[in-house]
Amino acid sequence: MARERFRTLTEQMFYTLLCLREERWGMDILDRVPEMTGGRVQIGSGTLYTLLEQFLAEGIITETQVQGRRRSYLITEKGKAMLEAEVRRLEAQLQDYRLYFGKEDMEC
Amino acid sequence: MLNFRVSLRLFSFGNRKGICRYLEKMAAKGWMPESLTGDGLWLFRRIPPTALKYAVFYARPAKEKDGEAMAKQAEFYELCAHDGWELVCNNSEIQIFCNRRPDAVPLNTDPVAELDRFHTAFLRGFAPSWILDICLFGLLIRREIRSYDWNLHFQERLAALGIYPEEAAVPWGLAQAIPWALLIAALLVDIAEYFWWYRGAKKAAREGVFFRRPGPSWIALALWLASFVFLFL
Repeated sequence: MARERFRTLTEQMFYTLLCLREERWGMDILDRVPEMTGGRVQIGSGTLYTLLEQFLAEGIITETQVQGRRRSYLITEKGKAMLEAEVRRLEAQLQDYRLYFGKEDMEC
Repeated sequence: MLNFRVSLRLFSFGNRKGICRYLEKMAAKGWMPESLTGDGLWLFRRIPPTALKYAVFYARPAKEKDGEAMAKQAEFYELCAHDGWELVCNNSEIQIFCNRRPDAVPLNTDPVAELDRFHTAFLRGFAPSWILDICLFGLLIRREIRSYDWNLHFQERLAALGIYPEEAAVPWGLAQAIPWALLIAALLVDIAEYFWWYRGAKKAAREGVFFRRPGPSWIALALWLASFVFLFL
């Protein structure tokens, strides 16, 4: 189930894990992701809660601190490997695109 | 003017758009939901007419005895409050939130995550009754097959309709089990159709499409109706 669920990462999953390369409180992730993506990607609080639950259950992130209602998280080695695998997949797609459509289409 | 009102409005488990549309209309008329029962009974309290956004989240409220679950739930509500979402009411596996901000970030922004929650909540809510019903109907089938008194009862009913079944090939105990067999078949069709729908919804979610609620099972409904016809025959 877990391998299938995280075989490819959705944008929400990807940017949540990217945020957690440093220790962060859950609420900071809600603000940080739109900052990182120029407002293109937003994470709903319900979605973030679900993802944090799933990532914790799979050992992709770890809980580092608890202060009242706030909890902080950090990506694990397993999570880093998953993120790297996703980046390699995206890079392969980008290479294929450049190969068939030409490099000039990528200038923006 | 009354400050509370009760409304009967039943929505299917996955019909979150229908629920939100209904509550948004009620908010515009000046009603906020206080509670909801599993039978579709809504209790509303009066508020000034307001434009509110609603969202449905599939999760069972934490039990007070479970400290860890309560703490995680508190974190969840804290995250929701950050985006302006407040819990208004819940029932079993559904929690309903409202938001006063017109540009609020939706509660659910990832179709895969939302479908996962829905699927877990659906199985937790319906699977126990599926198993119980199949066992119950199975026991009833067993009883009918072994009972001779019901054979006579069934023959008398048919005789009243002018049908004399002495030469029929099917043992009457078995025939009396037909309604229960139809009900088991209806349940199995319902279960199979749900998982078929889930398979398609999972694929669509991966492509960024939020799931549409599972539709009614017309085959299962037909089997249910057929079983009632046999029961009252």
